[in-house]
Amino acid sequence: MSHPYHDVAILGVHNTAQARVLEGHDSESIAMEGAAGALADAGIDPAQVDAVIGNFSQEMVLAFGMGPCARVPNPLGIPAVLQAAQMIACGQARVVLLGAGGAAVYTDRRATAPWTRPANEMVVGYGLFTAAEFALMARRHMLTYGTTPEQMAMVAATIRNNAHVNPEAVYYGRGPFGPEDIQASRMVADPFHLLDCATTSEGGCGLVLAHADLVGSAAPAPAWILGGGSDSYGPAYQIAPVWEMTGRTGDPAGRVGAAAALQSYRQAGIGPGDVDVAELYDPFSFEIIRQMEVLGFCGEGEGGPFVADGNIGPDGAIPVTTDGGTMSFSHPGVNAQQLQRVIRGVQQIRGTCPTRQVPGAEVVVCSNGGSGALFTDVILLGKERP
Amino acid sequence: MSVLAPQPPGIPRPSPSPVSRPYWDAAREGRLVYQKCANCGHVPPRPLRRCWRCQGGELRWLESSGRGRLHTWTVVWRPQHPSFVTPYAPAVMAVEEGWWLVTALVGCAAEDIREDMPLEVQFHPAGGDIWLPYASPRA
Ligand SMILES: [Zn+2]
Repeated sequence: MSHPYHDVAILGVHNTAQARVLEGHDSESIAMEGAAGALADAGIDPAQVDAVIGNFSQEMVLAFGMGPCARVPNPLGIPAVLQAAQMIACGQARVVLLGAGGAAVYTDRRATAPWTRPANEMVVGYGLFTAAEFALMARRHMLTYGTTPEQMAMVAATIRNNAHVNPEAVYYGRGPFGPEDIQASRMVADPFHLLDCATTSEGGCGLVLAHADLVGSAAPAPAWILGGGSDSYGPAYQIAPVWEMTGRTGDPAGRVGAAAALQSYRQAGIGPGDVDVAELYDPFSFEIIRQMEVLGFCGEGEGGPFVADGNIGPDGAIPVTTDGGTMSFSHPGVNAQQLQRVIRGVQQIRGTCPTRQVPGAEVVVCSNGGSGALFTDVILLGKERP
Repeated sequence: MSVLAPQPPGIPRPSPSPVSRPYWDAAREGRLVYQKCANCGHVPPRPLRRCWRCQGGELRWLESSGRGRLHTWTVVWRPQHPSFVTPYAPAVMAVEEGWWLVTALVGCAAEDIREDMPLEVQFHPAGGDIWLPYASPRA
């Protein structure tokens, strides 16, 4: 039996300009630019698109004149990429377009960004927001395994330094950072300092997935999907984010993503040791320590020492989030930054990253989400067709 | 070194749902209640109509002792919303009956928060007819 994604190629990827504020744009207009850029990168004409996925899928069908065309308002990142792949694999579409973007959403700077504020009745009165929710999870890891704020600061410094050298990053040239700089920044939600947290910014992006028949000689080399999976323990930011909460399997919510990773590796027929680059979702520094464990790069509870030993740096065993991630590449606040993990993964496979290209990268793991949000999505990309 | 205090009225308030109404009605009377499945004993992660763990057992509202221990916490210095006074300390209390309560710590200094410290709930008005359970250290 052939691999389920044997005929699915990621043909086009694009990031628009990313900035703290993009004058003259709103989320729809910058998402539209991201989608157009991905089509151009793939060498695909809008008339060839059979399906559009994303918040603005209907608007894109209209603006590009793509009707009749399927529209799927799936607002997620990696699950939307996997859905596109599945539509192609089952013959429902030959070309699928994904576009996303955020702009003109975060205007009241006295408070945290509006998308970070949970409104659920059980948490709203306690001033919880994403940093606090992720801090509640990080604290459990500190108490259980002795993980330290210094180890978290090393993660933040590593990822921020990847943005420091990346001219396309919002925080290009703002470093270099050492762990002591991270710890010297003001406290937001203990143990997270300001520089342990994702930034907020504006920007758009897009991807084009197509049937392998459409892989041409002119377009950039395709990236292939080796496997993927998605784990959730329920709606984010509505209940107590408790590490030890279990569901049907007895696995704790602190380890969310472990099952998705296992499924992805099985589908790909590989293990963590075969992965060259990890383009991981980095809303908070601790999240990388947690993901190192659930993705199998180190044992349970060993994430702190693992990152402190330099394993995630550009020359380490498993370079992480090489563009600067949501900490300092961009965090537009809709689902763009989730798709941007996959886009960077594709650029690593192509070998076209202008900075921090991992030489000879053949397998990349990308992730979305995190444990304070009670979900983790995983996708494995490869240079070789599965 | 300041002592953590309840938030003044004016913060964003919970909107009770038909399912959670008994929780907020009890809170207004200074009582902490929780749901438990009459069939399998499961405590749902938030108010629900029925227990899905055992495919539909009846969930009954029970009175909690309001006592427990500190499971995890954070101290927030950057407010979620301008109406919150900082610092404040969102926390999860492991309640004696075997469930987790999201709350915030009051009655101690941020520096004195310790893992597993014994806690008990106390109720403070949040505006409207909402009273919020907070957790404070107990002897
Ligand atoms: Zn039950």
